[in-house]
Amino acid sequence: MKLSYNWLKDLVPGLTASPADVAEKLTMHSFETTAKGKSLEADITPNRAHDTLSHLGIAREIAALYELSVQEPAFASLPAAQTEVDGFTIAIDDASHTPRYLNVLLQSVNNNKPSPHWLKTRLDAGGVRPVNTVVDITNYVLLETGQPSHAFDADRLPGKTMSVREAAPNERLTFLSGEAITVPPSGLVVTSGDNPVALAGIMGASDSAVTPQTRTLLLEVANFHPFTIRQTADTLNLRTEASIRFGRGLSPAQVAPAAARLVYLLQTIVGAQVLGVTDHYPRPARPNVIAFNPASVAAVAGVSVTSQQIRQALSSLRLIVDDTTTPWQITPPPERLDLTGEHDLVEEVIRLHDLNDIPTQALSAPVSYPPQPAAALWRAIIRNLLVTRGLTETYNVPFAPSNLVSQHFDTAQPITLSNPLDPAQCYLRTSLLPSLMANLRKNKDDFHRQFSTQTKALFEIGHVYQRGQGLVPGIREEEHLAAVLVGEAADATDLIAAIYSAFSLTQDDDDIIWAGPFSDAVRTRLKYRVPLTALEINLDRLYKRAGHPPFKVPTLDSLAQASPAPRYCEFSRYPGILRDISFVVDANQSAEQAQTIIEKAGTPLLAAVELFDQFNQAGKTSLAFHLEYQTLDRTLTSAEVNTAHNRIIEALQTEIKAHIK
Amino acid sequence: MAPLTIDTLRELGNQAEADLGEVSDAAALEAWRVRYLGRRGQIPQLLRQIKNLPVGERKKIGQAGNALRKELEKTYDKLGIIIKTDAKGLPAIAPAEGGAAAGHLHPLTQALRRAQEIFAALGFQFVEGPHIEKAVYNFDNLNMPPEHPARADTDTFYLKDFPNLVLRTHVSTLQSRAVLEGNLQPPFRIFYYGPTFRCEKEDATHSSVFHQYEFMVVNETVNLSHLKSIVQTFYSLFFDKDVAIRFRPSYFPFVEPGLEVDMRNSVTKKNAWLEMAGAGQVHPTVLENLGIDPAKYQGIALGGGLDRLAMLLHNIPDIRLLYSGNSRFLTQF
Repeated sequence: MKLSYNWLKDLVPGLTASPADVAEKLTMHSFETTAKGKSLEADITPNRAHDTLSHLGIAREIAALYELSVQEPAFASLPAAQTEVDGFTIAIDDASHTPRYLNVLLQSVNNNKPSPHWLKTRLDAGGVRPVNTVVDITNYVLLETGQPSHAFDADRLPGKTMSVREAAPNERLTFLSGEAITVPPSGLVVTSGDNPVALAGIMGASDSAVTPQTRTLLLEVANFHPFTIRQTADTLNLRTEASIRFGRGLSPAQVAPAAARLVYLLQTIVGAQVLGVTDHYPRPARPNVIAFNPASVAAVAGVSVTSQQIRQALSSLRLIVDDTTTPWQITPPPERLDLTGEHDLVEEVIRLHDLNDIPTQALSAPVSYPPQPAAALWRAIIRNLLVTRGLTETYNVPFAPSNLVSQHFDTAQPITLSNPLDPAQCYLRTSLLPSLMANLRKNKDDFHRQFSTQTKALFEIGHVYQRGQGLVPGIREEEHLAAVLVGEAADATDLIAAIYSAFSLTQDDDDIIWAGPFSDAVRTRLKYRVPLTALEINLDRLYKRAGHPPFKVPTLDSLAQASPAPRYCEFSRYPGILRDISFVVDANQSAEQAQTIIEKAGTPLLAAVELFDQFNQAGKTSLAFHLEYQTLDRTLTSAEVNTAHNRIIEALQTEIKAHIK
Repeated sequence: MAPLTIDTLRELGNQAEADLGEVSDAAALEAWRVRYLGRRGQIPQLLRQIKNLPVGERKKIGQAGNALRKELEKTYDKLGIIIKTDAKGLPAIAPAEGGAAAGHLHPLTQALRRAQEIFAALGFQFVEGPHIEKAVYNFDNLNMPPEHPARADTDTFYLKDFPNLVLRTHVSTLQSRAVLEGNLQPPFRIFYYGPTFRCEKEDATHSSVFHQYEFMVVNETVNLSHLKSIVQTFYSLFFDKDVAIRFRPSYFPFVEPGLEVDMRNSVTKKNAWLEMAGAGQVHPTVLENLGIDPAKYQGIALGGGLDRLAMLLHNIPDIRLLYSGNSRFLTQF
């Protein structure tokens, strides 16, 4: 929520801390807040939306944190509610969706002048545009107290019986913006003589809207069921300051103080005179008394907080503390809908005190070291085995494209997402191979490199999903391993045998494994010149047949890391250009020295160098290197590469008298 | 060296097997590998003589030689797994045979292993569960009944034809699964991780598929001071550096008090505080939902991003790299 520091300071006159300090204090004790000049932005957590989506709520929080007092804004004294005021009544059938509905009828309104400057400034600080003075006042009180309200031009209302009900089918409303909507089913409408005049809790209709010519106001200050408001707002894709607050839930007890504040401002700014009040409030909110054991604070925080400190903390947050009984009886202020039990009060005490006062206490030694699940241990063994054999592990997202037909294992209908992020990827995968194939295509340049660091094979261990029976009703979710191997030497049979051997199982179950070469058509599609082999194994079934692998519990001392973690290096998205270079030098020349010369002369376009052949013959040494030219920001032209390559040749010739082959 | 014949090949094979039988530790295993299977090992050296044989004989000897090599490699692999559990208790990666380059473990796997080792050493029980989960485990049991705003706020993936199931939005589903279906009773300490799914716009720090880790301790006295200790131990061991931890108030439906855990060390840029995880005292309603009496037991829980850990550990700038399948990325780790 956007907040004005000056407004807060008005409400907490003793505040001397800077905006930055206030933001820091709120962050460490309430919720994350940032300051920019005299403006603050507080990220109010959902549980505090009931009471702190307002300057007064935040001011009360600040006052508690800094041990100051709040200067409550001036308010009018309202007459007692009546059943009817000048013919206006309220008739609401179902109280569950409208816990409270209050009207104030006001006359002699002079709305034909602009809002006072101070009001406009504050609306601006809250990110709200001015409309006309009466509407501005309702928005001002919303930003100040957190309670939304709506003003009707009483003379433009179709009837004098005000009600709130669920919308009839195809009921229409036109807003001030000109936008017309059909109210969704179970959406609430405020009606006047049974004609809809507002989308309850969200926005008023244009027909009865207040204009500069308005003389008589029917003010609505109400409370609505949060879920209904939220659902309606979401369905219509509307988001107003009112709908946000009602959607999170407000206490109906806030209605009367807000009405009193509104009336005060209407009286003083537009000269309004109160004719009377009607108030539908069939089940008034009762104070919620919580039994509280002060020892619970230490039990949760691990730090001693004295009874005096606890009492002080709760009182400063406007809770009524009765510590004369055991347990204590604590009464939160009505707007604190989030405080329902002892655990909530413990949080209030600890956060007001200092969360970082909590000490560090080691957990007791475990009673026993439980065995790790067999599947997890087998998975680690399999991964190690594959990596030892030169395969590189990849992780792919489990969403599959809609044009994919499951090729292996099962042709049962895949599971479909109702709300995929990308409509084209709306299935959950039934096999790991399609995404590995996509990885192959993306990596074809790397696979075709001659460097020994080229990737030779990829593997993934992950879940596949189908309809069927499993841990969750209707779903068969299983763990698979899949690998794609590149090149002539690729041998899936050997790999599968090694895996079975690791499990100490014999290979005899065909429906656990699928393996074979990719067809020429597939290879062409993936743009590979060399043979490709694939395999996929249902690991869950192997785990079921296998025993339990050994596991030794590590000790904390043994966990010091042996070598530092490798750090990521940005790699180029542009293709590298490969050249080989071979030359003959005197036998006493080292390959390392030659490589140094090459690297130096090749800067900055030379990205990688690798020695791939070396032999001695008749007092001379023959050396051959793979070179890769590449930059981070563009594809190199052959002219650029030739220039760099020639520079390297020259350097070799000059410095070590290389005879280029 | 003896000339290459079927007999000399068989003899060498027998000797290699016998020697392998004597191997009982990692060092001896490595020495055996170098001696028999390495680039200059006895078997490759013997087989190089194949070029001196008459053409007609080469195929038979070649096949026998390859079969022998594979046989020995198989036994070597098996033995390697048993012997080379390192001090951390998990199987070590054996050096690549024949000098070929080893492949690479994904950085998320590496991060997970580090985390798993630490929690195993602290006596935590590791549990796992499905990605498609009952909505009751994902929301209701975690104090998010159907009309709770947090439920609507979460960008959940839903499944056609399965109104009571979701793609889990956090691994906290394991709390219900481990306790209610696994018959777990307090006192316990559990650690779990896995893929989680959110239907939200992707960018450098958000992916629709990501990985979380979480732990939970329930006994009669565990509280936020123990949480702080576990967190301190975990992050300092994980990053192999001294770390400072701070708590800030926050809100999650399943804990009360709820907090954010920030970390600061030389890994974080400019010595700033970095948000690492959400945590708190387990909400009494959650304990009740798990069939645990909140008057007798209390709990702590913490959940964070495994992707974030991997990104901090390896200085990876964009989460989407982790799911890119790009070999230029994967081979760096």
